[in-house]
This record gives sequence, C-alpha cells and structure tokens, in this order.
Amino acid sequence: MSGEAVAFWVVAVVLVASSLAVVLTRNLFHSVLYLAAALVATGVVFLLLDSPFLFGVQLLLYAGGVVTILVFAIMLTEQLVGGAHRPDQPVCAQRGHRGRGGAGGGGRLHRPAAGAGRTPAAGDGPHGGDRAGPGRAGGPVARAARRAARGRAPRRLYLARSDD
Amino acid sequence: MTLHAYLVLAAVVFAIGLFGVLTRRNAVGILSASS
Repeated sequence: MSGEAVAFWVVAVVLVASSLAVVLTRNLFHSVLYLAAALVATGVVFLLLDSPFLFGVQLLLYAGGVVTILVFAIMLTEQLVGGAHRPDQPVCAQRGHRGRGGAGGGGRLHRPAAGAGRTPAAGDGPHGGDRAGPGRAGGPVARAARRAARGRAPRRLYLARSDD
Repeated sequence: MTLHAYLVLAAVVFAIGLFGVLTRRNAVGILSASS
C-alpha cells in the first residue's frame, strides 16, 4: 500500500467520522467544531488530488469564514432565546431533541416556569418594585423574581446549551 | 489511489449531509449540515 493510499484512507476515515459527528451531535457548538474538522479534512482531500490552490481556498473560505459565521449565528440566537424571554415550550422544542426535551430540559426549565407561575399571584407589583429601585425588602414574589433573574443571567452567557 | 475511491468518498459525505439536512430541526443545524 503506497503512501498516498494510506493518507487517503486516514483522511477518508476522519472525514466520514467528523461528518457523522456534525449530523448526529445535539449540541450545536460541538457540531460546528466537528464541521471545521470535516472541512479541513476535505481540504486535505483536495491536497491529495494535486490541487493545492483548492486546499488554500477551502481553508480560507470554509474553515475560516463559514465556521466563523456559524459561531456568530449560534451566539446571537442563544442570546436572543435564552436572555430576555421566559423559556417556554416552542423554544424548548426548537432547541433540543423532542424526546429528551421533556425529560432533560424539564428540570432545567422548571425553576423559571415556577417563578413565572408565582408571579401573577401579586399582579404587576413586583415588576414596579423591581423597576423603581434595588428593592431588597420585597415579598416572596419579588424574591422569586430576583431568583429567576439570577438564574437567567448565566444562561445568557452560555454559547450553546448542551442537551445532556 | 484511483479516482473511483475519491468519488465514493464524495458520495458518502454527500449522503451524510443530505441525511443531516433532512433530519435536523434547527435552522443553524440545517445550515451547518448543508455546508
């Protein structure tokens, strides 16, 4: 077996494995990282086919540009979804797997949902008190709202939430 | 390596990408699978 054949089979195994990982991974950020590996492996395939210019173009445009655009898209949509609004059922269905979204995402979504369920008991009182000042001396509803706000803060920083 | 092996590899990668486009529910996932 010649050296080119060995290189081809190594690159082929890496390419097929990383492509399957792109498709089968549930975490979007990990999927984009595997996609970068698959694009680099495709560039090596171009290099094996004696076309180094296509290798350079593949590295510059795909592994440099498309991956960057996808990472930015994931970051912006995660901020949009996880930040301001209460995570409700369509967001959960959009983000994760449907079968595990009920079991795995249920425990994560339970705390803000419980806080939102307790909020209408006092009407719009905690919102006005929270907006007027620091409001440390609030009732249990205000404390629940602050707890929900504290629970929402790190989710805004997290890039791609893992499903498992 | 002959050209045949490269063509088979390209077909396999295309099939994986088509599977990903058809099975993903997320828009960003569809974009990444199609690229």
